[in-house]
Amino acid sequence: MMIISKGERFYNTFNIVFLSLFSLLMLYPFWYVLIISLNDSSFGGYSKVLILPVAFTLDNYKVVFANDSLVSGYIITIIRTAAGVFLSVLFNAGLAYGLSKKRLMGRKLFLNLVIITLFFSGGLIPWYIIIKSLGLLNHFWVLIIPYLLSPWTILIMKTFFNGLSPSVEESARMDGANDLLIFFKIVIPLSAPIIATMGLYSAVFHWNDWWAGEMLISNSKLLPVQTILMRIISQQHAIDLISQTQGKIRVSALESINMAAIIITTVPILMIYPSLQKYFLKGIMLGSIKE
Amino acid sequence: MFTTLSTRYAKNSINKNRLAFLARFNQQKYLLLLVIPGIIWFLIFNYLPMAGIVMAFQNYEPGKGLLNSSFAGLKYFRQFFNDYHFKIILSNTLGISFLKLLFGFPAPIILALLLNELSGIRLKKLFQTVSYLPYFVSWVIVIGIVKRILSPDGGLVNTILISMGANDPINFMLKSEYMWPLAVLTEIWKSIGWNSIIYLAAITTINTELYESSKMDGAGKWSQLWHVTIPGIKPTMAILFIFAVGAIFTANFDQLYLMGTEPVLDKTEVVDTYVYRIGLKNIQFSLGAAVGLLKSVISLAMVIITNYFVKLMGEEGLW
Repeated sequence: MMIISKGERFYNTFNIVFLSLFSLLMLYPFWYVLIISLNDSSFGGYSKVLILPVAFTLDNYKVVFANDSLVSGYIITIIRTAAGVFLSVLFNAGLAYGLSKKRLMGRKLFLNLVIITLFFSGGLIPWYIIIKSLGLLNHFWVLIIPYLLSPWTILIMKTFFNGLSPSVEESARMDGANDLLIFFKIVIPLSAPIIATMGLYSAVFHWNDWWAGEMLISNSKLLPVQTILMRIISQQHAIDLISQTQGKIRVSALESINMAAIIITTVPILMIYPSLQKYFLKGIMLGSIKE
Repeated sequence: MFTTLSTRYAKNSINKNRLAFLARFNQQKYLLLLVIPGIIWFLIFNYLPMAGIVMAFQNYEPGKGLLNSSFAGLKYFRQFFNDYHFKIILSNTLGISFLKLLFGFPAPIILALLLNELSGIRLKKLFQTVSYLPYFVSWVIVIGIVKRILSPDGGLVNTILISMGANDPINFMLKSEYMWPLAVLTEIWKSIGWNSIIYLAAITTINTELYESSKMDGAGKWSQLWHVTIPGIKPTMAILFIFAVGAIFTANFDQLYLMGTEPVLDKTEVVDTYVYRIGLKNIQFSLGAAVGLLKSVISLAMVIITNYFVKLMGEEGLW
């Protein structure tokens, strides 16, 4: 029987109360956005919209879905995320697997090449110039290729691969399998948690990245949805700014529409991530066990 | 005769080495196939830009390229130091990063410790899931949400303030003095849950026997926390701390660029946003490259120094 002291019980209650308030803090902003998005914007003051929408409507969403640029942005984001994640995992895992084999020619050199980039970089301007010289600007692939590999991911995966028991690989090799086969048919399936985790990192990056579109693309049809959203929101802010300096506070009727756009951009991720939890929690555990 | 023999021997061993090399290469060809594309990528997107650092010392013109642009020496570095932006940028970058380090570094640790104390697994999982919800959302969205919450037009905060007796709504997002706290708070809100994961993972690796023996020595909750848990996660803290220090000059571009509207730039402009604005958008490539180089070198130096001190304190550093 566990004897829980009074102090401990008090502490436990306090802990739960505190964490509940904390959770509310995490959740409420999203709820707030949701209820505003479901609120009739022509209704006027937002000050009453705190727990529930005051004038319920789905019109804001209708406006968002009718907006061509948001729809095209969404498609670009989805394709970019899918392709980006797939290719990133492929290249990162491949490099990590090779580096995990002591017999690899040039291994030390390659490893150092990767590690150095964690600590030093040439900076934004030279990077941009390279991308420009490669003719990648204003192409769909500029959203993916410059972001293909990550030293972090490679090192974590390499640690993981090193931790795999060599006997499975050895028996496969004795059956005549070559490195490629072993990598794809044996190592990858065994590495599901780490791949899921790294894949998730990559997916979150691609889904949420607005900067690449803003900086590297001028063709509006190729912009990902976050970039478009960003422009919409800052345009809105610019309008607010002007009316503020004129001494009036405008009723921002467009805000509800912004909120609807936000909800639409966020909901997919919010629905997916809880089910991926067990993967990335395990993956982070595995990845953080250092050599 | 002798020379022919020795050259024959020499050629023989060179050929043998070549054969051995080719044999190894052939044996590893698939492994190399997995590796070479990635290495080429690093060369193109990391090492070529590093070579491009020279443009910080040139009057770089895109038309002329690296080879033909005229030499400028330290001109752009001097220009940066004398620019009136310099003090502002330095102050913001260091100030914001320092505050984020001060409050944002311990926050996930504390959260992990609290979550760890929960006895119910379901409750723990629930709180955990909720805690990293903000991580999955982009800064565009976070700033959009924050703008609405702080809006003078019926935003949540102003509504509460007015109901408590304030006369006018405060336009938070347009006032410089709120920028630093806002940056720190939103950063913590967004990343505390996700960052706590790695500490929770580290806590699970602590040998439970240590808790048992400390209990037998009469240790209460606090003592256990202080003498078992925290030392257990010290290595993790050390590594993450080194990286955090290395990132001081990086101060979250996404967040600060989006918050950086005209009226508040004096408190939100940091090195990265400056390089982006002036270096890229204003096409002052050499200046941007110079500032970028400064930042990279200083960050590297800070990582090395911090690593040294961490090891001095008895923890394992990065190398």
